[in-house]
Amino acid sequence: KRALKFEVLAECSKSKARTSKISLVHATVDAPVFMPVGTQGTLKGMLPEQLKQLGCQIMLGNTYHLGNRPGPEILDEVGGLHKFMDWDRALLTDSGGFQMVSLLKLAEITEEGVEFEAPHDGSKLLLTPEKSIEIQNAIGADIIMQLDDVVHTLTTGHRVEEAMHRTIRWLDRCIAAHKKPELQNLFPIVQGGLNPELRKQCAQELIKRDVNGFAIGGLSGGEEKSAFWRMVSTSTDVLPKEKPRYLMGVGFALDLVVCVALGCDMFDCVFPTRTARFGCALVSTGQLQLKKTEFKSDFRPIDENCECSTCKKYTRAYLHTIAAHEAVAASLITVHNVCFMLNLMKSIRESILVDKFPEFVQNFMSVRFPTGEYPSWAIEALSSVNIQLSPPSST
Amino acid sequence: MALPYRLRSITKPFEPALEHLNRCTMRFTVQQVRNGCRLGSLTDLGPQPLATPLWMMYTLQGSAPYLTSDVLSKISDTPSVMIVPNGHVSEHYDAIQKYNKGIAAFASLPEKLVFASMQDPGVATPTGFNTNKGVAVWGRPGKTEMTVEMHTRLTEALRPCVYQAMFDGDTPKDASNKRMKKSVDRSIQFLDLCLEEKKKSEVLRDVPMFAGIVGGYNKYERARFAKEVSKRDVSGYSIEGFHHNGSKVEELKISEISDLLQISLNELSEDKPRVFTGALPPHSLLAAIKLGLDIFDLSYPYVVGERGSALTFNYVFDAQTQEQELSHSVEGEEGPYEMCLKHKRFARDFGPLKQGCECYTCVHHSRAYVHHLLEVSELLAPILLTIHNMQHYIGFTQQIHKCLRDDSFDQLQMLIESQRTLKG
Ligand SMILES: [Zn+2]
Ligand SMILES: [Zn+2]
Repeated sequence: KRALKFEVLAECSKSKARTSKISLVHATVDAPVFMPVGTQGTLKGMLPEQLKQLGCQIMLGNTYHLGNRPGPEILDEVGGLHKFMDWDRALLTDSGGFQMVSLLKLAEITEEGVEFEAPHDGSKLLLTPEKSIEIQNAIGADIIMQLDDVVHTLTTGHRVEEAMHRTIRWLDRCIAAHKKPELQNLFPIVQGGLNPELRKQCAQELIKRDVNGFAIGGLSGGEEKSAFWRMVSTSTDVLPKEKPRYLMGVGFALDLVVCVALGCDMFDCVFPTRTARFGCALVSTGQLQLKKTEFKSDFRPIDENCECSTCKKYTRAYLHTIAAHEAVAASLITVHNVCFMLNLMKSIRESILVDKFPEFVQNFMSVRFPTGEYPSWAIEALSSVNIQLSPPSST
Repeated sequence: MALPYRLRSITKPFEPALEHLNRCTMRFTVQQVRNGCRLGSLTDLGPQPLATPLWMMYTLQGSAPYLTSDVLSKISDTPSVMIVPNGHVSEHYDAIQKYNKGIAAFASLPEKLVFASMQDPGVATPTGFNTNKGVAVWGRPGKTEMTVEMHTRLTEALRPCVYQAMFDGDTPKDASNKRMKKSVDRSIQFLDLCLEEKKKSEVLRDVPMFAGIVGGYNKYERARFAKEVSKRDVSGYSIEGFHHNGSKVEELKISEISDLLQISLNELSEDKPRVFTGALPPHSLLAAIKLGLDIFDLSYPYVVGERGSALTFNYVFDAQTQEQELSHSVEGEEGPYEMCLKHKRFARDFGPLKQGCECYTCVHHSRAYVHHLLEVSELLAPILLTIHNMQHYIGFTQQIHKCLRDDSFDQLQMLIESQRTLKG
């Protein structure tokens, strides 16, 4: 039995969008999929059961955090993160490298791995490709990521090329260290900064390995959107059609819709859950800052058409009184925001199934940008895959 | 932040949307008094009669602490009445008033009845802020100085089934006689004004009002105040002036207030319900019931959860489990009825919070997981602790009822006492 089975159900006749089923050990995931991020083995104030009720099939855990606490020994002892947090559906973990580089200013990268100072006592520690896989094997996620050499998106020159080559070398060490290939799928990561040649080269090298899926990394770090989408598209052009493609760290609704058109299947982002804590609710027109006084006596739900438990019972006015003050507000808005993201993906999948994805995109853009001022990068990106946007009025 | 001045100009009568809220003609009957403990029944408050001793759900801004109404429904037999402190909601008076269905419906708990209280039993009330004009109440924005008129308007908006009259209960144990006299003088004045406002209010006319029974630690003042109250038309009593809420209430010795309490009670009608709010640990709660008090709240499980602890005391007569649970050592600030899941010793403990507990948390999650969530300060930690602690404490209150009925209350008291002394 393979740890992953990928089945494309339908392809958009214009763009690179497709809808598929990704069968993993713990769940069958309908793609394109948004994966909420449960950094420390929990999703911000939600019971795993609530997440299941919303139809969530896969969520993320962060290796760097989980490796610190509770640590691989305890996770091994209990039989993995699934059991530890009582989540019986699919999980994905990152390699830990990205967080190390972004959280710890003192991290230094050598051929051996990422060297860093332990936050508590300042002792030197080393995260090698082997160590990353060892921790991820203990966590036991259905999909695990290779350790990659992460450079800041705005880095240019030799360092980018070096990182790309090192990422490939580290991939081979990760594959060799991986102890549970029958249960967990190791995804390589396409790197190469904002250089299309490097991206292409990297992807071409990665696809020679016997793996079940690929990730596109090193993006969404503050680069120009026009460069961002081109890197995504360059990568998906090389990556094989018969394997899932995961675009790391991308989860704003607009980015997501565009990148589905560019052929990506999986997405993750902390934004929907993080922003909930500050009283921000996601809606099809954008966001509602529930702390604002305009919601003081607004007795409507966040979204009249939303089926989540928050929208069925709570008014904006009540959420206004507790937003960003009372802990329960974070739970309530998180439920809605996750529901919003999952619903968005569901609509995308349904539109692809009946080959109406371009119409979906047009409608999505019209609602979000009622004045027709679509971001130019989105117009370009969509146009590159044969989706031409019209002004909102004409739809 | 003070209440908006607009409050004063609102004269529009209410058009109550929920019928039972408008016909609160409470009746209270004491069905049994045994050894000082009273078993009673409150009728005509809600759709069902409420048995006393009664416990009110503790709330923060109208919600159970940390729990969405969805998650709250995972707890069985939650109280029908919730306590809503004025300070939590005064800031949002406008919206609640405009909503027009009361605070319970506003907070998405429309089936709950509301007891509107002056102070928050779960959090320590700062002392020294009351004046002749008003009482300081506390919430997220800080202090609100509540006048009788504001109190009336806010209470109207909350649509409670019972509410407290305004009182000055700020009488610490070491308060001067002068301070205690002042508390009584003010509270009489507030009570009279509240009675007047009540008569004038379309909404509150038929809503039972409980007088806060003050007098601090002074026998003379206790008697003086209670005598005054006995001359007035109130539906029940709320025993005040013995503590300042929050976790300090756990140290309150019921034996030290029993004589003073008796002085108050001697002057008051026996057939009216007596409320005593605050985070009473199990032994104090049982002692308070023995003094003839009828209505309490669930701030104790909240206070325990706030320090990362799960309630683990036994209230079931079963020697075996009792021994097992008592076997671990006490560490740090852990009280005798709980285990603090912050301790390292739980990092690899994959058992439920309490052996045999059937609450949602214990069925799905382990001590090790809750320990981890506390370590990394995740929001799910207090959620899981609240579910367990509330469910455990509700189980305890059900056991109290059972013991009162089958005459084994003393036995229950002994069981609780043995755990207190063993670990305390
Ligand atoms: Zn919703
Ligand atoms: Zn439990």
